Amino acid sequence: LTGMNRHLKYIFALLVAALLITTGVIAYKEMNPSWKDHQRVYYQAEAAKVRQALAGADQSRRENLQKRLGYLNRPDYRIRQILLDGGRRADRCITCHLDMEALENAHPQIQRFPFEQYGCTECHGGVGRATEKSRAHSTLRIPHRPLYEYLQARESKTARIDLFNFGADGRPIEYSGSQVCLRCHLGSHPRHVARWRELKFQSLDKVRNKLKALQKEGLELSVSQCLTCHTTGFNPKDGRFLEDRVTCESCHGPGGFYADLMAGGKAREGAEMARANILETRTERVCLNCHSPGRHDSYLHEDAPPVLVAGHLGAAPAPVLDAETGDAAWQTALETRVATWLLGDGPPRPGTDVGVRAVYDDTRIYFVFQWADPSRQDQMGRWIYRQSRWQVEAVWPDALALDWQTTAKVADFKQGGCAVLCHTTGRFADFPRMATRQEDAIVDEWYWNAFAAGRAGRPGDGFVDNRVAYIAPGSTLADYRWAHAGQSAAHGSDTSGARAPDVLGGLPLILNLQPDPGAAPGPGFRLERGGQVPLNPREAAGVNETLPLYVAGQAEQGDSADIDGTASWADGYWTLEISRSLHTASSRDVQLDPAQNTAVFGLALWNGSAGDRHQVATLVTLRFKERPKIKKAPSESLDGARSDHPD
Amino acid sequence: MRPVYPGFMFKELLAALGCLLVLAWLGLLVQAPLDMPADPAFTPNPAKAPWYFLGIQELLVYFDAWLAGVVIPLVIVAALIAIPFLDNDPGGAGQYSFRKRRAAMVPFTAGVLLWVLLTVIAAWFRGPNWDWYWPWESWGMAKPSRTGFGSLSRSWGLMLICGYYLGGFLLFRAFLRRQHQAWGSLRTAVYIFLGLSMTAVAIKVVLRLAFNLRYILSTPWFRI
Repeated sequence: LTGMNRHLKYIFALLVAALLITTGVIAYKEMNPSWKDHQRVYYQAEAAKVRQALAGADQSRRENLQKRLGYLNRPDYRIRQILLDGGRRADRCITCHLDMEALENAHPQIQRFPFEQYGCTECHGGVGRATEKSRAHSTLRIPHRPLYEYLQARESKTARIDLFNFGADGRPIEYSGSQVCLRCHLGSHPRHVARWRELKFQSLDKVRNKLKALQKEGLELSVSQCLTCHTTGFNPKDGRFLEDRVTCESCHGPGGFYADLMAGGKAREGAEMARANILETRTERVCLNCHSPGRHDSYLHEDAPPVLVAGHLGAAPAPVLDAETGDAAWQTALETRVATWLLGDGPPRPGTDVGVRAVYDDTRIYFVFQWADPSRQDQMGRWIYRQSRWQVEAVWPDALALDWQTTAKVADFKQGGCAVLCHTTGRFADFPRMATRQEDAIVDEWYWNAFAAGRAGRPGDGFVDNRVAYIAPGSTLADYRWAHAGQSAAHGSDTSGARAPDVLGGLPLILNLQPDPGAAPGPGFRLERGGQVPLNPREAAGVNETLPLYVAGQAEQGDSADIDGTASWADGYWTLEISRSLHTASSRDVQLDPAQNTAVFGLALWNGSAGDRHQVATLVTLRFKERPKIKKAPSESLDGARSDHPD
Repeated sequence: MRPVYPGFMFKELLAALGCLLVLAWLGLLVQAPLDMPADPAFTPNPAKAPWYFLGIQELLVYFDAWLAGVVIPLVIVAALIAIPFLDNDPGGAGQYSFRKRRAAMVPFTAGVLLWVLLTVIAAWFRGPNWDWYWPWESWGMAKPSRTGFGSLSRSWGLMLICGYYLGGFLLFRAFLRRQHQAWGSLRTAVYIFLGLSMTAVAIKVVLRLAFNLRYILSTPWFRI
């Protein structure tokens, strides 16, 4: 190698030295893999324990302990694994996690999911074959704390678990922001997203301005109290939040949870969990977190539910129920405008405002409702026998209903009002309509529709309980919620059966009363004086036999005749005047007690000519103004009362 | 003329030892991508190609699939085949000489480095949904879609690309006058075209990553 550059020799020497060192490093690493350290630490700790036990052990145990100590002093370092799928998969997690006692303590339900059968990665994710920590833990995704519940939830599709807010390490799961969710879900759930974006994805500015105004007025409000509900991902500890709007994660929980599932290729599980979360825990955790009663009680300003103040009539004459508002009592009563929301498939849209006034005297309460409705619709649909079967021609009359809580038990009523009783859209379609959801929970329903009330001469006084379908003793027909008078409680009738001698066998548009379950929906019989009269429809050429959906014209009796009222329609407005005794004899009626000062009712409105469309208001609080001690001008007796929005 | 042995051979030996050292340390530090057997019920996100294809996979970010997956690899292979036909200069044969072989060394080394860069980006800087993740960022959280991301209009893009190649040609020809005389017009033109195209790929990478430019030219058939 003569004549060569000397620098090259140095480089050569350096390279060879580096390669030798590298070879040494490789040999050391191969002989001392990181899992060996874990095993060494474990065996040394075990050996120390055995030595301690040996000190106080009697002769019989001594021998065993000594044998074990002998093993622990010369342990067998090796890769340990659980073979799964007939040997096709190997979980080597127990190579490092080799304290079986600790593992079993951490898995209280190990009997149901034995390690030998399930291994570790089935639930925890990760790479089972890897023996370096970084790779083995690289896809460790599912939070492992509530896994049994997670598996259970997967089986039952229900969940009451706090899986959504805290991860495996007990730290809160990260919020990702709606932008991340919408990257995919904008396309996969367009209607749901559009609905919520229009409804709730509004910025916080309005709340902030309100807050400033209130603080200027000297009201002491904790900011975090507002932000908890009006933001997404609010952290009460540092007062920071992710989005200044109510977005996806407010209801579905932090996105990190779903991101884990999505990244792990488990989108379907994520969907199931999201659904279970909303459906099963909505009362305790999701909706009621914010939609709680009296949440704006600390200040009486906008957003508080409307308050209707019923003034005492004093010496003034009671209003005449003539659907006219000329009475002196109505002239001075304060009107509350109750906004309604039109529910349907799209986002809820503002519905018709209803003007409500109320007065009371010592025995009765009087209401007048006025709302815009461009067309009077007082017809009800009918049955037509056509093509050898009964078909429904659905036509609905204009209607208005008030729902009062008769028993204290009605869950969610104070938050949801009518909507709780009549979940009709989206995911609430699974709930029975027109029913409460607990035993003995009764809602009193004052129901007026232009068809039935017009013919009966008064609104109906019905009720809603939790019985959706039941068979009365000795009866062959199911007593359905949606059946009509004599069989059902809803909508102006009573289960006593005292009224309505002639009714049809149900309203099978919703539920079929036909005895044969396979048959097409249609009334199989009509009731006449308590007995069933079979229907033998004829289908002559050109003539179709028809039957009304409801038989009307019966005078209300008993409980269902508690409410008096008249309605009239003129110039695009309905005016409905109703009255009831403050107290009635029926246990299904709400008892109004002015001494208690307030009562709460839900209000729903139907515009018949627009189809079966529900317009639901938030709850209205009825406040009884005390009877004036000294006779004052009626208008003065109402000051301090809140109408609707002050601005 | 110096003898091949020992000077040249010894340098080759040094290069081989250097490569061995680098490979040994890569083997020590970088985990072999041994994963679970593929599971049809489990789609990893991101789905990364084997490391030797990661460069091409990363190119898919910057160009449409036809360009990035078919045209560009074909051009690379064709250019590698064309090297001996483009550069048949016998000068510097049998020895290491950067100075004499600058026209061959510079573009080849730049190309390899570009390829390594693309592979490194794809291997270590790409996370779920092929978004940019720094190594210290958690993959547990998906990132919001990029905002302010725009493409040039078609006429602007066309003008820019034509201008780039035209200007590049004139500039290179001015610099490579001697080479032009030695190689002839055709070989110089192909050489400059390949060099400009390779630089264009690098420019596009920078434009997209740093300047939020999605495409320079969008046509129904290809997107650059």
